[in-house]
Amino acid sequence: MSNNAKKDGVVVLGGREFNRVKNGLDEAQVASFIDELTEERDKLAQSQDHIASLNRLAEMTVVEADKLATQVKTEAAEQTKAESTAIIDKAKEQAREMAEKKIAEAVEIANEKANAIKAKAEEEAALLLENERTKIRGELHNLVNQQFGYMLEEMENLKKQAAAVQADFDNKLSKPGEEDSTAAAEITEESEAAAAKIAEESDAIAAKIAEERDDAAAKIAEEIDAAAVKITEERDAAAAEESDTIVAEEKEAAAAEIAEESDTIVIEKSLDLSKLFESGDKPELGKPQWEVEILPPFDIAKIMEVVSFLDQLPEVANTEMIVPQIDMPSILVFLREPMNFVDVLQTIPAIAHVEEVTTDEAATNGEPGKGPRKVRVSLSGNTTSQKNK
Amino acid sequence: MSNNAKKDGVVVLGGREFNRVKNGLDEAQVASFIDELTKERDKLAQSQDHIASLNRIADWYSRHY
Repeated sequence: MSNNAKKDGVVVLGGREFNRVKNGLDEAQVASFIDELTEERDKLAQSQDHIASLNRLAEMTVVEADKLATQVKTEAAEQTKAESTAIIDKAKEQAREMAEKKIAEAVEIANEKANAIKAKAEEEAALLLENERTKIRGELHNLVNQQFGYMLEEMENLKKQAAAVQADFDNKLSKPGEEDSTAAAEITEESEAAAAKIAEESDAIAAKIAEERDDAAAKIAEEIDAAAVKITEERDAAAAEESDTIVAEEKEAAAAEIAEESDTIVIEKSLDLSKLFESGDKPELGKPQWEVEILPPFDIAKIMEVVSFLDQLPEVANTEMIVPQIDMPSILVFLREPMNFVDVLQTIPAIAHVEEVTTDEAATNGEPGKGPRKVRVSLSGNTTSQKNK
Repeated sequence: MSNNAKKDGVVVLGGREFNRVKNGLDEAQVASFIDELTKERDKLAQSQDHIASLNRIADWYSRHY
């Protein structure tokens, strides 16, 4: 709105003074236009002030928002840290529980495996002991057989000597006259000498048997010790201390049992030999069907292996080892039933070569009442341990 | 600036026509004042347009973010 304060010759419109002139502008029109322009300007200025206020408010809001954002950020960081710590603790607890569970399962599996190994080791130990026991029993049997053959041969020699002395005695008794007393004295001396010789040889044989029995017992003890050492080593490798304890107990029990059995067998065989020696009779074995002559070089272990093999055959009733002092050793074989003996001999690993003797005096075909059929065998391998008794 | 197109007995200032009368107002003074008012009004209007543009940008930004 125009400010129309008027002086003389001066008009004030919108706070501005205008002079009146002779040919000037219409005051009413100018005043109207100035009012419009002033009103528009004031309206715009008012709007500008309002916007300025809004700007200040916006700036304050932004500052507050920044503060709030910082606070929220700090609180979120703290909350995140706390939650992450809780999650980590929970994860650690779960991991610890899982580890304990896994360890328990592993221990259980290990125990099961250890028990399985222990059971297997015990089975193997029992089997090994049984094998050693069987082996020792076979070797002992062969050794006694060998000694038995040797003793029989000695007995035959003694019987022959006694028969010769008896014949000489009979001859001298049959001579007449005065020579009787002298001859009787000589015969008595010779008889006494022969009896003394027989007694001496008997004592020597008994001592030899005792010595060989002791040697056999020592050998058995060594083999038992070797078996025990082998068992202990295998057990140490396979099982833990408990297994060792069990094996030691088994070993001791088995060793005691084996020793007891060995003693029993030795004593029984010794008693049998003593009885045979006392009676002077040969056991009733029938006629052997085969005689196996063993060609040098000799290896007593391989000979025993051959004897053991033959003893285990179902067709073989018995074997007898003949060990002469000069000639080569031989094995007499008594059969229960006929068999292809030569082929069987060729399958024995200890035998390298088999040759059947087909001479007239030997070729009897194992018929009853005649001598046995003969085969000659040579042992396998390079043998040096020659034990010819 | 005033638009000073002139007819006979009529003066145009700021797009408005003014009649010449006997013993009227000084044309030069009136033209100067109208020019000042018009500049102030245009300046404020321009600022208003600028703020309106900023508001439209702010609305668009708030809708998209």
